[in-house]
Amino acid sequence: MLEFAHAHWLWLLAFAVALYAAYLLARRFRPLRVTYGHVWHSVARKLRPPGWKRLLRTLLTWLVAALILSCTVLFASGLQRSTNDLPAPLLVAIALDCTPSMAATGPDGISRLEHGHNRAQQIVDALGPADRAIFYHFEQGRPAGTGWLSVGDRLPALPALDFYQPDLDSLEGAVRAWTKPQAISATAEPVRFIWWLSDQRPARSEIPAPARLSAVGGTWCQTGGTPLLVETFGHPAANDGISSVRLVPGTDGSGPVLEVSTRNGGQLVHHPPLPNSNAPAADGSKGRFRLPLKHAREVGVVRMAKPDALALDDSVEYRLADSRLGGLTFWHPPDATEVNPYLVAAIGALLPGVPELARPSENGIVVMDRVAPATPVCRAAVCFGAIPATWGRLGEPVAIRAGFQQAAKAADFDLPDLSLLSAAQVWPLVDSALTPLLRDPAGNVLLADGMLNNVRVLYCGFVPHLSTFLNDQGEVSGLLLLMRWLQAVQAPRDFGIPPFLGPGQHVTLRLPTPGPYLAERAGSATPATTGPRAFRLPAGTAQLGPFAQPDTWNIFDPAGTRLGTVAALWSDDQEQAIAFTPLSKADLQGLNPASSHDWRDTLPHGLLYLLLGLVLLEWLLWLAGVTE
Amino acid sequence: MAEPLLTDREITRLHRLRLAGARVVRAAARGERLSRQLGAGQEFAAHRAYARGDDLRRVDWNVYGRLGQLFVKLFEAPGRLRVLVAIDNAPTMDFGASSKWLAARRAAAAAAIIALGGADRIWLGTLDSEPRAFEGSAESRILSALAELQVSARPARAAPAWMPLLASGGTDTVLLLFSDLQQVDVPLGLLRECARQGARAMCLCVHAPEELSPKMGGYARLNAPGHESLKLRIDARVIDAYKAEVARYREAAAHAAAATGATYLDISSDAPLDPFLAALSRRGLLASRHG
Repeated sequence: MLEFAHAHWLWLLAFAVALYAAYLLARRFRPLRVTYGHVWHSVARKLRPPGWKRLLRTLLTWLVAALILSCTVLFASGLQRSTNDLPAPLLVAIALDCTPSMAATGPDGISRLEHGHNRAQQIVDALGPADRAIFYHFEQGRPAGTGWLSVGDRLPALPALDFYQPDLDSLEGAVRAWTKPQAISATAEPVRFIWWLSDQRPARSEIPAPARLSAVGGTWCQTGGTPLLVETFGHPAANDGISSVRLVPGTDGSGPVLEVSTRNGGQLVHHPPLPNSNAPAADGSKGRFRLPLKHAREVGVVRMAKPDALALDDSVEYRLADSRLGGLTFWHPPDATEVNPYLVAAIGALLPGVPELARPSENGIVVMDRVAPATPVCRAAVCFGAIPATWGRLGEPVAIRAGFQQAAKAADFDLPDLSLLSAAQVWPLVDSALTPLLRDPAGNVLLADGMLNNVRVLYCGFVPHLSTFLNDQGEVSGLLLLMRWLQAVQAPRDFGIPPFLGPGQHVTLRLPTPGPYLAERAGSATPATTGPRAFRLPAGTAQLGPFAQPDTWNIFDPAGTRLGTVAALWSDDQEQAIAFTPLSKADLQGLNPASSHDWRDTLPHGLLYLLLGLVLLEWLLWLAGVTE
Repeated sequence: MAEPLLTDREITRLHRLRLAGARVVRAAARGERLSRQLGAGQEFAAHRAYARGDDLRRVDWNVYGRLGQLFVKLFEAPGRLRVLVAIDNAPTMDFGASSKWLAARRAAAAAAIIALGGADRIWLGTLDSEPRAFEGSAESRILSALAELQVSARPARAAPAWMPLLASGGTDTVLLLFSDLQQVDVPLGLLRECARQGARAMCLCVHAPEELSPKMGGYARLNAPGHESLKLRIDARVIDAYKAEVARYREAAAHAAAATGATYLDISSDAPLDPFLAALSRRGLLASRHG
């Protein structure tokens, strides 16, 4: 049967009737009285098309009219099947379970979710002409559906996993509240049911299939007043996976420790490999690991050693807050007598526990005494009278007397009184992006601070053993500056962002401005406005979590600066178990058995297409001049 | 009450006209000068050579004195001219926004009134009917008779009542035939008979403007008197062909009428009487009654 997406426009067909009436009116032969009849007959004999052309046109016109009349009579006489003869139309809610266990893949490498999605498309393709369906997925447990789908429509893309349990009762309520689509006959009462595509049978009582759908088979359950047909996809499989991760802060100078638990005693791998350790250390209990992060790296990944059916719980990425400097490297001129022992002693005293003269590391500090490497590898650098060429350039040395220099700008630490510093030769900094801390009366930058290529840099134009930087007579101004700067480097602003948040957990942040702040999944191409959430601080605090989507989340301030990273952990024994309940498949052919087709369903189509063809043929023949 | 065929003004104007030279006949065959109807009237008309048996009282002795030959004087005979007004009442005459039938009867009425002014005798009627004779002060009766004439449902197949009139009248007869010549057999037969009897004839062919240049188009069922209806899609091509065909037919009809010796005159049904009278005057058939 013909169906229309916007049936209310069908009234425009009345214009077609009016047009046809006008056409017939224009084609009528109006009686006219004339004289010279023999002349008119003579003219007609000469000019009028031959009789067969006029006959052909007449026949076609009459044939078209006869078909129109036939269609009208056939419908008026009720030749089409009554609604009692037709199978009741179906209204199907195709609901796809989006819980994490549906992400488990089988031997074919296809996830249960993809199998279910493909099956949903098959169901839509098997619908009858009068049947309609809505495809549902779940967002935080709530059903989210498409518009009405009919046979041949394409489903939306594969939905995202939902870490909340689906609310089938809400779905049943939505199905019950459906209003019948306009395309369905007013007299036909459709059969509503839910087609549940999952990997387990829901905890509902089993019922027999509705009479209309007895040929479909499958497993039917009761959900409220709506039948629910269950189909499952997957294979039984074991799943290891990380069930918990906890960061234990270090004590007595020792580094922090990651405590990781796995399911089924699965083995772990840490990336990058931990220093001084070839493998994660087990504490003796199966499936529990302590990972000492003695030299904590900023980014790390804990991963299951063997992949399994559910990759979702196989790894956790973390970003630890920058806390302590991990090494100390001195650069000085080759002449050993030039080494300032006070400087070595002072830095060593200010960084207790940091191995002195270690090899350069990304977590260490480099002290440059008049000599600078081309590309320092470090987290912080103190430059005395020298700076790498990529960071800036030095001017000609100037003489600085005590009491003449002036602090230029406050940094994120308190500046001590540096006015007593003096030296016969001080190398000012030019052409640099660092923030000036101290200038001489001529405006030369004597001290500067800032971030260059992710390295916190303190430039000091005073060379320790050629100035009063470390041993001025009145106060220890330079030493105090160095101490406060190192504290600032080692103790970044703490907003209270933890490295891990467990399932359902949240934390209160101490954020300086009202925001809005933004949480984005690390490495996700998802735009910032979806999935992640923005949060605002009315009084300087905000709650972070719980996260609906376990992943690594970056927290950004309003200026777009990353404040920290939190790994939202996922642990759900039931879902991680990826249990599977095999159930019998439903027969799609049973939705609309072939025997229900009737020749009367196609007769109007045939007549209509024949009619259109004849009208077209008549016009073409007339345009070609074949007919009159 | 039906409109009178002619207005009083038109009738008054017609009273000033008379048929000119209606009695002039050819006498060349006998060596005579062109003269009026010759006889023993009071008005001298011509001379002719004396013949045995002529009345000696009519010999022109003055001529004999000058020429030495005997000639007798001829005088105009006071004979009566017969005017036959025949109107074709074929169904095709009842056509046109300005009716051809009305135009024909108006022209016939004008001719009859003019002829009555010369005290002639008039025979008037349709082709298929018995003509009625009028003479003297019969003007009103002529107009009434013309007003009562009806168009026939079918064309006349013959004009039996007109043939004896022509035969009995001889050269003293003038036939005025009003027709559209769409059925030519009877009108042409009448004109030929007129020529055979030596009478003078005039064929006045009446047409309606829309007959010559029809304004129509689209799908039409054409109903022409005497013909089956014709379904035709009329467009410019058809109209052009019709015009050409009608022009050819009318030209042929005019030639056929002229071939009988009759004078042919075309009358448009929407034209007033003036062009008709002017045409008669140009052909020497009208003269002023006082000049």
